Amino acid sequence: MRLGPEVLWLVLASITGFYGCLLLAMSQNRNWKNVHGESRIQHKKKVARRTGGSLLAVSLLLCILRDGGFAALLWPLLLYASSIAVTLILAFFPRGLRSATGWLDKSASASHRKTN
Amino acid sequence: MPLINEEFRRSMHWFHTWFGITLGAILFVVFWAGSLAVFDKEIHQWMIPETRIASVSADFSFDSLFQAFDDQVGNARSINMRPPTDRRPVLLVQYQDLEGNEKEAFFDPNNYRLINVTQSRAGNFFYDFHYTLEVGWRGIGGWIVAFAALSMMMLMISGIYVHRKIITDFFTFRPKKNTRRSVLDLHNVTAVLGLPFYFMLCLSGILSMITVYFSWSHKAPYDGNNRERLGDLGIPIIVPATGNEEHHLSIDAMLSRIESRWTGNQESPAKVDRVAVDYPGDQSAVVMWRSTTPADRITANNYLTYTDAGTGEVVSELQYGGAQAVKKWLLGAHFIQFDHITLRWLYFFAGLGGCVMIASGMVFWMQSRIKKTGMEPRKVGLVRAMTVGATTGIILSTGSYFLANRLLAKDLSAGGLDRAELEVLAFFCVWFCSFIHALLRGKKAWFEQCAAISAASLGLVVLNWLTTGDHIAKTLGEGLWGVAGMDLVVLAAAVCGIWACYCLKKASASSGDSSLPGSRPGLGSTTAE
Repeated sequence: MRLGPEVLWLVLASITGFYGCLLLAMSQNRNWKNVHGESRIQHKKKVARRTGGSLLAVSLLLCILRDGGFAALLWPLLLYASSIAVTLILAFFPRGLRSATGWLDKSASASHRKTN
Repeated sequence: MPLINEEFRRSMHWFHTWFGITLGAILFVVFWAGSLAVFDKEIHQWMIPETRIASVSADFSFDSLFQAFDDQVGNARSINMRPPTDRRPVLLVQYQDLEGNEKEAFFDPNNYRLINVTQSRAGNFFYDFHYTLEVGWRGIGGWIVAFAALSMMMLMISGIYVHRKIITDFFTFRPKKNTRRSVLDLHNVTAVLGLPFYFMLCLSGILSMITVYFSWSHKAPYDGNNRERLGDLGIPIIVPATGNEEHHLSIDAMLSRIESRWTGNQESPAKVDRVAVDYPGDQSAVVMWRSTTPADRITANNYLTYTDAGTGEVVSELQYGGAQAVKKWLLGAHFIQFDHITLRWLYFFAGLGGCVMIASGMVFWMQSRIKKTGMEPRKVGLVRAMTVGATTGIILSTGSYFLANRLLAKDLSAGGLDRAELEVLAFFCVWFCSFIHALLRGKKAWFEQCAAISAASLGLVVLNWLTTGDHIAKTLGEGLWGVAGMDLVVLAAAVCGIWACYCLKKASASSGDSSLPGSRPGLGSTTAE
């Protein structure tokens, strides 16, 4: 395993890939309810979808920067692994994703604005 | 009338169901063997302990190897030398002796001494099994695998039409719902998310064997004139030995010339990864230089050059372009011989994901049949036996193959079979027995075979320690990553087996089925299937 900046690129590509997949999952009502409960239905679906898609693009860019031609295999496989990881966390520990996706909650943003 | 109507969907459903259930066992076997073949050289190190060399001298010489072969093995009709790599830290010489028999010899790269290795096919067995199923008669195994791969591509396409909520269910796995629903979720998730990768693997797998499946296609334009065909491909016709001896040039001296010829203006240097000499020492000797598996790119088989061993002049050179370049990329992506450890692990886990996809599809079909037709579970015994044998059975037989490797005496031969063949025999015997066991034990076979997998896996780690002295702490400390990785994966398999046993027992207890040891009857709709 090559050490140095290449490891950093790989870690960043994995994180952006994972978080991108997570946001795409959060753009679906079923997954949102699963994580945040039935009461909090209102959330920023479009923002989640667009940010998620952008993060996947960033992940691709990082894979290309790290590996050049290998990115053609690395990126889809990283996304596959990320998607499986997101699916398993949603299935077994959905509450663990609350803090990571709380900023998408519309009601929380509204109450935050009111207090300010 | 829309093209994709209900009737079309029904047709796709029919195809997906029946081709899936018919070919599921073969597909699982192919995916399983392929996943293991990703780490074929690491398995090789584990199964042939004499090749476990922690540090390899940086100064490698083909001339020294050639001389060592000549001194320690003898004359050969042709020899194919391969330098050491990080994954295979020994010198490998594949040669044809004067009687025409194909053989292998391993040399220590630090002192060029011939290594007396344990006879085993090691990782090569999974590599061959992946695309031949070890059915050699008329190459029929290759045809079966090709048909399965082609069907797999169609199964993936039909699956898209069968699955109505493909976007909604994209990240959905509901383990707390009934078992049937959970199994279908698992099937959908692994299939949909991995679809591009699996499609690429099937396509590249078929392409890799295209000259077998369409053997006439590359011969027909030449009307049987093989000489002309080879000439167009840039492959020289090897002239038989003349008997006139001639001192050939130093291979090492030619090596740098060939590599610089290949590299040209490219940024990354091309490295020779095999050198073959036909009729070494003879006046007609030809040296083949090849860079088959470049470490730093996906595309396979970039460079192939033939030189006259006497004069060193280039006889012919193979140049790829156009469609061949695309094919070579796909083959490189399929064979994964490049130096990229992250991708190697991702391939391995994606391969196992494919196994989960196939197994969950088969289990779902079985449960659906039981539910829809009201069929007694015992009447699906044959399908269950096929499913159990093809899934847990092959995992168990893989464990027995490794166990046989550690337990059989080094020079053992019996019944006309050498040691390597006896290991393979152990694999097939246990695999066959797993089907019989599943047929006889019914639903209990899942639990019992999972328990056997765990026991075998734990035994493997202990046996490796006892027979070679290489325990995990030692191999990690010495930097024998391949051996340590193999031990850790085997341990992980043991943990997965124990976890599967626990889940099966729990499901059995909640469904009120007392067939599994220690299970307690209770309420619920799930089964231990």
